[in-house]
Amino acid sequence: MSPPILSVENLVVAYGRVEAVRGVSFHADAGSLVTLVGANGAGKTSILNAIAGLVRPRSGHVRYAGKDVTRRAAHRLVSDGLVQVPEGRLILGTLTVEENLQLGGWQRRSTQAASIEEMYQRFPLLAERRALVAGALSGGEQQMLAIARALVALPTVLLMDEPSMGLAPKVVDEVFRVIAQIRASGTTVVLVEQNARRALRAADYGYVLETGQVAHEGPASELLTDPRVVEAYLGLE
Amino acid sequence: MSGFLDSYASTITFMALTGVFAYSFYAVLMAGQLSLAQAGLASAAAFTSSLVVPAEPLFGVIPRLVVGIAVGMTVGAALAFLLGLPVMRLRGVFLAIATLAFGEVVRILLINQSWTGGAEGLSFPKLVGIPQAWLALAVVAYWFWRLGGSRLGRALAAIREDELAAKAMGIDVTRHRMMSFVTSGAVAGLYGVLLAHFVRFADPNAFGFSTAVEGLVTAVVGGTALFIGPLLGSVFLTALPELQRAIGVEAGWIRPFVSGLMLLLVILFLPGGLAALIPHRPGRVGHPDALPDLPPLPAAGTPIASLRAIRKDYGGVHAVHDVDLDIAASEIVGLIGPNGAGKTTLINIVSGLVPPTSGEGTVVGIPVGSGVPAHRIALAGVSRTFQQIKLFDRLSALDNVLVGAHRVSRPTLLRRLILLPSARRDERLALAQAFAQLTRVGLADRARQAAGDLPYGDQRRLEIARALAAHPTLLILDEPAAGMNHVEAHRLSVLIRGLADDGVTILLIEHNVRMVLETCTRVVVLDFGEVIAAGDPATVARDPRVVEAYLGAEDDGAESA
Repeated sequence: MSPPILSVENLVVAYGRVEAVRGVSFHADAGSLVTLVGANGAGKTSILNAIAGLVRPRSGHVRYAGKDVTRRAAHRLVSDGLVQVPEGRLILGTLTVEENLQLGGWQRRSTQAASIEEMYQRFPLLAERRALVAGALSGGEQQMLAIARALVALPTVLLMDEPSMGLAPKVVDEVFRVIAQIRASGTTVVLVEQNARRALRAADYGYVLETGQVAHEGPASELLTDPRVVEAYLGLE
Repeated sequence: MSGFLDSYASTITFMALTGVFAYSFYAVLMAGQLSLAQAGLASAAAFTSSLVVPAEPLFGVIPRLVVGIAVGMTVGAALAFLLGLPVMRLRGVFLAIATLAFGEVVRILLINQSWTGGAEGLSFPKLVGIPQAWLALAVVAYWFWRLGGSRLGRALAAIREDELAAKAMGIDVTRHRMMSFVTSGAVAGLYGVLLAHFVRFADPNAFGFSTAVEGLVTAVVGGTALFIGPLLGSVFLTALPELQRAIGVEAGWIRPFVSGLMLLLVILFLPGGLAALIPHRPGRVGHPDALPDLPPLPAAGTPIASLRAIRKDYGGVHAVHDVDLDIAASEIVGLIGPNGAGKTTLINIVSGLVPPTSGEGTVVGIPVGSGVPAHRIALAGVSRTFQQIKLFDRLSALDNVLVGAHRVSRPTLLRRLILLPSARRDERLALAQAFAQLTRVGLADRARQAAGDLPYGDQRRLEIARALAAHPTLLILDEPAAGMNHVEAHRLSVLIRGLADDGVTILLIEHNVRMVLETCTRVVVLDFGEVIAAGDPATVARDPRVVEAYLGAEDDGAESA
C-alpha cells in the first residue's frame, strides 16, 4: 500500500499558554475523505490551520506527498496542492465573483482560465453572477464560491473547515453533493464539521477529537453507530 | 539631588510636557480614532492664553498660570468640538487627513495675525518648571487611570473594537466619540499653554505636522491600551538621547540613529507599546455577592413587537416584502428560511439598525422607522447577537459582558475620580451581573481570556452572555448554534428555554432545524422576503411549501441512512 498523501504526527498547537491541540496524529490516504469531528474548542480548526501553514505548531510534524512540510509557508503549500476552504468562507466581498476565482488560481496561471470555465459549468449560478461583487451573494452562494475558489488552485488535498455552517438545510445538501463530486474526481478531502452525522455519512474514515486529542477513530460507518460517539456528538435521533 | 535636578531640569520638564501631549493622542486612540489636530489645538490655546494671562495673580489669589490653563483648555475643547461637528462622521485615515488639514489651517491663520506676532512669534512669561509640568502630567494621568475602569472607559474601548456591536449594547457611539475628541482638545490645550510658558517663546510654526507626529509616536510607543502608556513613551523617548550622552555616545548622527533604532524595535516587537511590558494583574473576579436590582420583565403575553406590512427594498430588490410579525412576552419565535430570504434584514429592522422602506409597527413601544437610533432601541430593551460574530476581540470575555451591562449599570467616572466608595459598589454590581451571565452560558472559567482567542462556539455563547447582561426584554439571536454540534446545540436550546421561563422574549434565527423545533413556541418561515408559513413548530415543519423552499429532501434532523 502506498503511504498516505497527508499525515500528521503528534501535532501540538498552542496559543500562549493554552494548548488547543495536544499531540494529535492522523492521516489521509490519497483519494479518501477523512473527517475530523468533535465539540467546540476540540482543536479542529487549529489542526487545519497548522496543516495549511497559517499557524505555527509548537511541535509535531505534517507530512504531505512524502515530504515534511511542517513549517512551510502557506502560499507555498497552495502551489504544492494543499488548499484550504476556510471557516466562515472568507470570500473577498468587495471583489467580483470572477476576481475571487482568479485569485484562487493565482499560482496556476497556465490553467487558471480553463479551471474558472470549468467552475462556471459546475456552478452555473456563479457563471450568472460572475460580474457581481461576491458580498452580494447569499450565504449558500458564497460557500459555493469559496469551494470553487479553492478548486481553481487545483488541490491534491482539500482542507474544508465547516462548509455547512450557517446554511439552510437544502443548501447543506447541495454542499455535501459537491463534496462527494470533489472526492469522486480523485481529490483527497479532509473535512472538519460540526454536523458530525452528515460528515461521517460522507466520509471513509473519521477521527473524533476531544479537548485537543483524538478520542476515537475508525471507519466512518462504525463511528456512526458507536454509542460513545452518538451520545457525545451526534445526539439522539 | 538638587544638582541633578538643575543640570537636567529642562529634560525633566520636557519629559512631563511630552507626556501631557501624548495623552491628548491617547484620549482619541483609546476610542479607536486617529486624530492629528492636537498640534493646531495646542497652538490656538497657547496664543489665546497670551491674551488673557494677567500680569498679577487674578483677584490677588488665582495664579497666573491657572488662568492661562483654564482658558487654554477651554479653547482646545471648544475648537475640538467645532471641528468634531463636521468630521466626526469620518473614520480611520480620512479622519486623520481631515484633522491634519485643520491643524494646517490653524497654523496659517495664526501666522497671519498680528496679535500672535506672526512668524516672529511671541514671548511668554516663564511660569512653568518641573513642579508645574509634573503636577499637570500627574493630574492628566490620574484622569485616564480612573477613566480606564469606569463605565465610560469600557464604552470607549468597545467603540474602538467594534462600533456596530457597541451601538447594539446601547452605547451612543457619536456622543462618545465626540467626548473623546473634546477631551483630547482640552489636554492638547493644556500642553500648548504649559509649553509656551516653559520655553517662553513660541511661533505658530512650532506647532506643525512634525509636532503632531511626535505626539502620536510617543503615545503609540508607550501603548494605547493602558493609561500608563503615554507616560512611559515620553520617559523613554525623552530620556534616550540624554542616556546616550551620559554614557558618552558622541553627538552627531549616532544619537538619533540609536533613538530611531530603539523606536523601531519597540514598534516591531511590542505592538501593545511599552505598557505591554507591565505584568498584567489579573483583576479580581469578586464572588457575585449581590446582583443589581433590575426592573421586572413584562408579564407573559404582553405585546413586545408588532409589525405591519414591513417592506425593505435594496435598489429594486425586495429583501423584505409586506411582512407582518407579532411577538408577545415570553414567546420564543423562530425565524427560518433559505439564505437570502430576508431574515437578517428583518431583525435589523426590529433592532433599529436599518429603517424599513415602508410599513409600520412598534418594538418595545418605539415606533419602527421613526429614526430612533439603534442605541436608543437597545436601551429600551432590545439586545442581539450577530450572524457574523461581533465581539470586542481584544477585551477579555468578562469585559465584553461588562460592556453588555452598559444599559443596567450607572456611570462611575466622576465618582471614581474622587474615589467614592459608591463607585466601587456600582462596579461590583456590574461585575456581578456580568459574571452571572458568563456563568449562565457556561463560560465562567473563560472570564479572563481575550474574546478573540476563544473557539468559535464559545464566541457564540459569549455574544449571548453579552446580550443578556443588558437585561433585555427582547433578545434577538442570529444563528446562535452555528459552529456547534448537535449536543452543544441541544444545551443551547435548554438555555434559551430557561431564559423564556425567566420572562425574556426571544426571536431566534437558526438553520439547525431540529434545534428550532425543540426550542421555539412558534415558527415563522420567510422565503424571498415573504412569510410563507407561520404557526406551531411541528405543523410548519410538515408544510409542503416549507419543505420545498427550505428543508429539501434530506432533513438534517431526520435519519435517512
